[in-house]
Amino acid sequence: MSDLVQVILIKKYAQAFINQFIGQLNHEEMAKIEKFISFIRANRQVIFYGQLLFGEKFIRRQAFINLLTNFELNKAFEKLIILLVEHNRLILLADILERIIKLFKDNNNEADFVITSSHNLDTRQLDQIIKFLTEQTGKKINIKTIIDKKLIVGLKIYSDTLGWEYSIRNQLNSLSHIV
Amino acid sequence: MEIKSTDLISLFEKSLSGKPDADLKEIGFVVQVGDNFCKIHGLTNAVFGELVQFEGGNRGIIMDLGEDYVSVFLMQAQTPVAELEVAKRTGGVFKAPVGMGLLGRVVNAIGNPIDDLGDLQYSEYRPIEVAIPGIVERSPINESLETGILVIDALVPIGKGQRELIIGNRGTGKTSVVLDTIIHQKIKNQNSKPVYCVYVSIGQRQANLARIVRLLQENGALEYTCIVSADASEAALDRYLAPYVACTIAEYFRDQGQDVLIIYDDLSNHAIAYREMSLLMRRAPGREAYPGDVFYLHSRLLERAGKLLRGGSITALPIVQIQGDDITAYIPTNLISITDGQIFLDTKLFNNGIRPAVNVELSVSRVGGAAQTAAIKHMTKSLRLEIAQYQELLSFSQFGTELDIISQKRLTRGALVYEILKQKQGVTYLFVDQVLMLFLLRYNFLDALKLAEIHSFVMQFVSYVHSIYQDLYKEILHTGQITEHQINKLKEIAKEFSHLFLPV
Repeated sequence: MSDLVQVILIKKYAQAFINQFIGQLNHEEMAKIEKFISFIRANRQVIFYGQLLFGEKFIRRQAFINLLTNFELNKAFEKLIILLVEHNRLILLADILERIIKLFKDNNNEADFVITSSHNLDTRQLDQIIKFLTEQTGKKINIKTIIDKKLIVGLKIYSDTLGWEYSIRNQLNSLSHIV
Repeated sequence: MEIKSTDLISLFEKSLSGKPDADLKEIGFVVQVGDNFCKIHGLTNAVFGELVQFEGGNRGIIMDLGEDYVSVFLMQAQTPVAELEVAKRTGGVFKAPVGMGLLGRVVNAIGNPIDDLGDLQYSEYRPIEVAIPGIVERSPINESLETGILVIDALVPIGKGQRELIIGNRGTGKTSVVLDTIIHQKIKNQNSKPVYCVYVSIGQRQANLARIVRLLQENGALEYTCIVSADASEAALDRYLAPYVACTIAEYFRDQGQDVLIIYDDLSNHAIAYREMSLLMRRAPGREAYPGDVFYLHSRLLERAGKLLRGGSITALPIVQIQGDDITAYIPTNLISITDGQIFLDTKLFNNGIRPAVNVELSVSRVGGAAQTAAIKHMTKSLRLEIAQYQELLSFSQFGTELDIISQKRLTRGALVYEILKQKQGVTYLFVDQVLMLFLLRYNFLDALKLAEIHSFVMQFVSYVHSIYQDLYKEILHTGQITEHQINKLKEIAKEFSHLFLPV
């Protein structure tokens, strides 16, 4: 399956899930899903064994449902697991869940941004950035900060659909293309 | 390229002091890249034809919009684009540099100079896709565009604002015909309103282009010509863009009130480039694997030619190459239906030494006599008929059939016509010279000569009139017409010359 086809499938599964179960989801649920995603990414063999073709589908389904219960996730996710086992696409589970989180946030008018800066930003500066992003997007902003010395001086603010950068590195890159 | 350190410092200062953009830019991520083509996930609000800027410095044009991704063709093949690289919308479309400073220059499909003559002196940037002038803004085509090639000016006349297709097999002289037309404008530009030329080379070899540039330079034609090149080694996008960029440059000249001649050499390569792009975008292939809108690809390009009421014109000479003399192929038939006539260059005629190898029976100018100088029109009244009669009888003569006297005379006459229509490459005639040549043919002053003597007789006669009877020559040149009195005068001159003529 090509990456592009995977991306499309992930989006479709996630959108279908949101369309059906948006009313049953809340922020606490999203936090639990994030923990579940971290677990799956750290323990890829779980998905690998789940994808194995031998063994009853029922057994594989049940194994994952038990896993979901350990993480105290909503019953709605059992139906997603059943569907993915049926379609033999468990490998997409983590990406689909990430996409579900994103769609949930879109639905609740939230946006996640990653702020990469060359130096530590203080509270005042972060508040200014959040205010700027709120004005630009009209959404509730959740931020994550990263320090990257390679920027030299400046900032880089990205979500998955919007971006803004003003750094020495960026300007030097632009100059190198001209020169 | 040498860069002074002071230039670098000022560049750095300018960059570092620049204010940041006030807005967030919409971005996407490259999910697939290859063959100068990439797919970008995101950019949900992007529009078709928009320019996209990549983080790594490359630029691209959006050529397909999908539900989850957009397809972008890259403009700089040498600048790599990596997977997951960020791409930003620029909010604008691709624009080409235009201006009088482009005359005498050779540029590539994205408007960068490739002739080592320094930076381009352009006036502005214009988008390459524009709204085409409507019917009300156009003027009828009633002014001749001289090619200097006798057979074309006499039998398939081209008017300013016309689209005349040049169609033929490979090696039949299509490019030679258009180059001679460009070079002929030098002589015309000295006596009348100049015609600026734009030559687009699409998918040709670089050696070919170098030869063409040198030829135009040697003949002093480059100073009023702009060359746009997208050679065979360029990416498909460049070969797709080149004719539109060239037409945009031509439109600038036209908007200054000038007459422009634009040559697309050739549109078969243009269609092939577009096919390549469409197949990469996974569009459904149609006939001969071309996409369904390949007609629109050329129709919207060629409809930009025309003569405007407010002044200025663009005359288009698109070239199309056919395989095996088959003019019923897909792209040639498309172009034949779009254009206002075609000049068909026949391989058989070429191989038989008749050059330019114009097949008069299959060639036509839909504008016809309306765009022809009155003097030439008068002299060519029965020429087509004579050629048609000759061709009809030629097949009989090959069987060795005994023909009556009238048929024999027609055969002799036809051979005479073909002999006078032959013209060497690089040699062009002013319309007055053509009138004099056709006069000799029409009033039977060549009948007594051997075929081998025809050319020297005709050339010497033209030279004779030009040097001895200058007043008559200039009168025809300035009026564009020929009166009965002038014809009678010419008859006397021709009789006089016949006694003086010595075959070379």
